[in-house]
Amino acid sequence: VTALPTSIAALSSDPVRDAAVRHALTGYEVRGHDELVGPDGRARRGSEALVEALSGLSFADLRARQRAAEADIAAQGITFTVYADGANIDRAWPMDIVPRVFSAREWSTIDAGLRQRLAGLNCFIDDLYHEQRCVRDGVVPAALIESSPGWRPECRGADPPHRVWAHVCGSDLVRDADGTVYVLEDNLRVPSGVSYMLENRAVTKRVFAELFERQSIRPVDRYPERLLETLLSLCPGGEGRAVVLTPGVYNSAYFEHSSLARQMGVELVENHDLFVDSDDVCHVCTIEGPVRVDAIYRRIDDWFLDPEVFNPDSRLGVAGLARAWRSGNLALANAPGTGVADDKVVYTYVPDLIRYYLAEEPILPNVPTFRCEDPVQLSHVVTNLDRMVVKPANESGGKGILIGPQADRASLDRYRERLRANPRAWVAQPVVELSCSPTVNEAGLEPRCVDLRPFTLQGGSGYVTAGGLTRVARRRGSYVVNSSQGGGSKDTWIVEDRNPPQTGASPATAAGGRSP
Amino acid sequence: VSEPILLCRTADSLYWTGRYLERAESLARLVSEHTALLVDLPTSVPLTWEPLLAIPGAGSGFDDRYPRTDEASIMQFLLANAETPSSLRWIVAHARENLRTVRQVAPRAAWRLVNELATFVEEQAAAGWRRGRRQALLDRVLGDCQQIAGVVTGGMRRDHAYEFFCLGTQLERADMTTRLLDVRAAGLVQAAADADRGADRGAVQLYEDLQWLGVLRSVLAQHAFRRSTSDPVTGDAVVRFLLLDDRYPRSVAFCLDQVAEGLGRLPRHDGAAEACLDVRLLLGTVGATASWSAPVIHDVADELQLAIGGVDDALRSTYFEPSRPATPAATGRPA
Repeated sequence: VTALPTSIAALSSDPVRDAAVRHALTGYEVRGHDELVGPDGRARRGSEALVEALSGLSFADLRARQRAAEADIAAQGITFTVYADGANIDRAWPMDIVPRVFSAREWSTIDAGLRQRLAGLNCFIDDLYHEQRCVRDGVVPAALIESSPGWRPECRGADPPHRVWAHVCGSDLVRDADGTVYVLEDNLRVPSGVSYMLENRAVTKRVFAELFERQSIRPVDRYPERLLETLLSLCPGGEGRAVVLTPGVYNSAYFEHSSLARQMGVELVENHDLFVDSDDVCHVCTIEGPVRVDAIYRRIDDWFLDPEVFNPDSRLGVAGLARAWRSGNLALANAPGTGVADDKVVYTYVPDLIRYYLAEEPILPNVPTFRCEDPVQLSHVVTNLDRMVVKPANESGGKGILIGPQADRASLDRYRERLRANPRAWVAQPVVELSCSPTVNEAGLEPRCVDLRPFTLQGGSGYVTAGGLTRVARRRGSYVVNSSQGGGSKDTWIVEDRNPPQTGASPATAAGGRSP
Repeated sequence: VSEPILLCRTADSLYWTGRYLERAESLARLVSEHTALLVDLPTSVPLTWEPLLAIPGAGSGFDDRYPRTDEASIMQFLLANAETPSSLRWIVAHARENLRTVRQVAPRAAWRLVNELATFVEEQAAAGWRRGRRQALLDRVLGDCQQIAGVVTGGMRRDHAYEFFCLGTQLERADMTTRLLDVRAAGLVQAAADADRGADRGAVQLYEDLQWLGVLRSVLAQHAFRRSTSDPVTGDAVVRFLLLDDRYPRSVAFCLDQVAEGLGRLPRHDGAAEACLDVRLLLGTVGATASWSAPVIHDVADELQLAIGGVDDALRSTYFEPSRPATPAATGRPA
């Protein structure tokens, strides 16, 4: 791809003209570990074709594509809702046009690691609500479970299909300065973002189609079908009616709820569309009368799901859902009670849990994490607070986080007090120097910190998204990537190797080797 | 795997999306034609902006907000006012809000078009009081509404969801045609009657046919009318055409035929079908009217609007308000 000649380029010296003639990557300064180019300035594995394409573009052209992407997003009504000044505001979804790339080879490791992790977590949750072998065998302390806000004693003894509780998991992955990919968090309640992964790809295809030439990028749009498959695998006989349950149009992820329902071809319901009869069967109100529902992909926190057993004041829930679920008439994804494994203190035990339940070494490492409830670790954290990231054990969306190196003295002191007052509520991690990716700014491409949220499914079978949602910090040097706090996003590519290594086996042999 | 279902709430929102989009198109066309007609008429012919205020009906809130009934105020009220349900801006915004909650069942392009249209109207409607800017605004609304209709008819499966969208469209169309008759036709007949007794008779008669053509154009019916008959464009002929022509898609009779057919494809349609039959019987009765004086037109329009409202009521009680067990299931049982 070569730069399109533009009339702007013919103008005499002015900054716009400089931008027009300058190649998009010229002057790009690598900061820390860069996802696109290595320390030698050459493309990383898998990024070769993208770097070639960017090198052939002028920055003005790139910026024009960025504007086209923004216009497309506005026209499509791809939004997320933020709460500000007591009102709900629909904001256009922020997306940077330069994709973030993984090589297929690296991705296969991450894919396996994510499946392994969710399998281990599901064994753990199922054990917690049954015999609690992990406590008996000393893998996790009993106190940890009962002090977790996600623990739902009402779920004890329940037997969800396949003994799987968390069917949809959105993990947060980060890469540090030496290139290692870590799991930063496991989001097992109602993780969101997957629809934006789908939208980002669609936008890139529409406004920057030529980027896809001369390379094989894995499609992402199988996800809705695999999600539906997962939901149906929870119904008796693998067949039934699935719906998506949303808190409503004012929820920050409403766009996603609607978009997933649409792509799965199932109904999007709100709580007043559903009722559970005294026969413990869940029904949805249709123009033909009540119709039975077999599986609900619920996008409401379990605490609000059923006023009969959980929060009695919930106005988002449906009375009787838990009854229907327990009696096996209704599948809930995720099952109530999965939040117990979403706790950031529990997170610190996940590698041990994988070894314990699966007898395997964890494929993906945790970020080293201090448990503040341990007095020795607490004292280390308090002493070194200015070099730590402190997180509440049970919050999401980046709420309540302290980034030590960027905090002032008063905040550090305040957090020291908080940690000492309620150590169970906090974990601390050394600062991870997040990797960066080139991002379009007014002046040119600049490095911005990124993370990745891939989505893992587990039901009758498993699935990992081809990539995930890459989130980007808004400001240079910032580690905050949450969209609720001004972060952006990128299309994420899994790029097949240009010259796949010779396996030596012919396709026929490979196929014949599979077990039936 | 399982038969498609349609939620009560989804049916409701699709119906109102259909209604609001049709209402936006009708209002845009009416304002557009009224503006064009005013340009054609000499100042001696008594045609003002005030009749347009009767479109949304009594108690629409105009008097509370605007001290004068001039063109600028009326255009602000009908196009740009964000608070009153009679304005184009409000109507389009509510088409979007209804579609937003059901966009998963409508063609993707429909959502995109409605979303873009609502954004455009929000930004541009305030400029519509100027004649110089008005036509571009209205043309865009008309074009977009027709494009949306095309996307829906060309891309949507003919299932129950589609039926409810169409029921909304057809009922709104029938309703708007009666309102047009009420407002414009009755006004014209009255003006002609007044002129018979007054001095301006010549000017009024000279331009009467032009005005009746304007009425036809307001519902896109000029060409269709001409193809249906070689009779001159008279008040009686136009009124009969707009009420009773069985081939013209915006006549009241045609719309109600469509509603009856659509209802036939829905379950549990007895109540709504009966209400629909009432409207068609009423049309049959008024078909015998020999002379359309202004009071007669008013009365017929009122009766028709009430009868059409009856269909709307029946749809709501049958389909939109879900039936569920009267008392919530036993509470307090352990899970």
